[in-house]
Amino acid sequence: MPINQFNSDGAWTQYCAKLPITIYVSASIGAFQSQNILIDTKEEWSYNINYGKKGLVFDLPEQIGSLFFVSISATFEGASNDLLGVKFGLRNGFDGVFQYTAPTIWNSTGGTRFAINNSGLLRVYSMGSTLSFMCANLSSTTNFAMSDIVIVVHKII
Amino acid sequence: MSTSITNFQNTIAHGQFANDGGTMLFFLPDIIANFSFPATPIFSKNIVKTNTSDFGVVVQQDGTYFVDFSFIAVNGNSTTYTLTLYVNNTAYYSKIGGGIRLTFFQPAISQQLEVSLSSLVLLKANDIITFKVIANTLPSNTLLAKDVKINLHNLQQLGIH
Repeated sequence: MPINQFNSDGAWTQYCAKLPITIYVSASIGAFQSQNILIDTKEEWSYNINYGKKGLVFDLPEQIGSLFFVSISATFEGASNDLLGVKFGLRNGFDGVFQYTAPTIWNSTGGTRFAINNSGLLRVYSMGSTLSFMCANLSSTTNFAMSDIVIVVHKII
Repeated sequence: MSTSITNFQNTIAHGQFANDGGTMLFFLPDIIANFSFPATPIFSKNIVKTNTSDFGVVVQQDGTYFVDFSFIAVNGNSTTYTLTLYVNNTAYYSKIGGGIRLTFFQPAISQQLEVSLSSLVLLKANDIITFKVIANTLPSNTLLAKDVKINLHNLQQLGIH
């Protein structure tokens, strides 16, 4: 069920889905690119990777004023001594501003797997907003992998 | 004709607060530290920050709240810590007796780890939520709590949104 089915379900709709796949990310400071994004079609994911800064992007055609609780967790397998993190937010088109930036993790030993969880409250301020999930290596251009992604979206208002 | 007045209770409450964080100062003999950074509201409704210097919030409506608290633990090497949720300066326990707490360990290497705790908490208006960290021993180098964040929303929201 794509997120854009919220409208048909009315208020108090919640959404939970899992991507049991691995996304390999080639990262750099300030910008990153996603490679080999495989979407499980059984989940009917709605996504858009046409932005310059790529990531998981979902349409969120909710009315202005809607409030969502959103969380994402994933397993990271990273390189040595890198700061990794997940950030998400609402954006309007290419230049939209993220409302929240995620914490960062120092992965001190190469190959170590660890989990990152991030959550927040997001308000829709304008029509045509999208919900974006991005991950980034904030300290180097070393590749890392992200797998077992779980996204929860709960409409509060 | 009698006149009746209907009192409408608005239980809407949600909020997101954060702080860049900083040093955790442990006090003896319990080796316990507060998050001594004020909770800065990102946006909120019927939840406000406490008027102290500690990271805490005051809910202004009754209800069952989903509470999500997280930070990045830095340094504080080779020590086991317990993060505990407090309501009105008392450690919060569920009705079945389990404490709302989380134990984490900082290894003896430079590593930053995410610490996150989520729970449902039964609250009354004006209840204060704070968090504390208890160490098993006094850490040889200072524990830092970075990117402190809390999300809350009342699951029993009623009224005009």
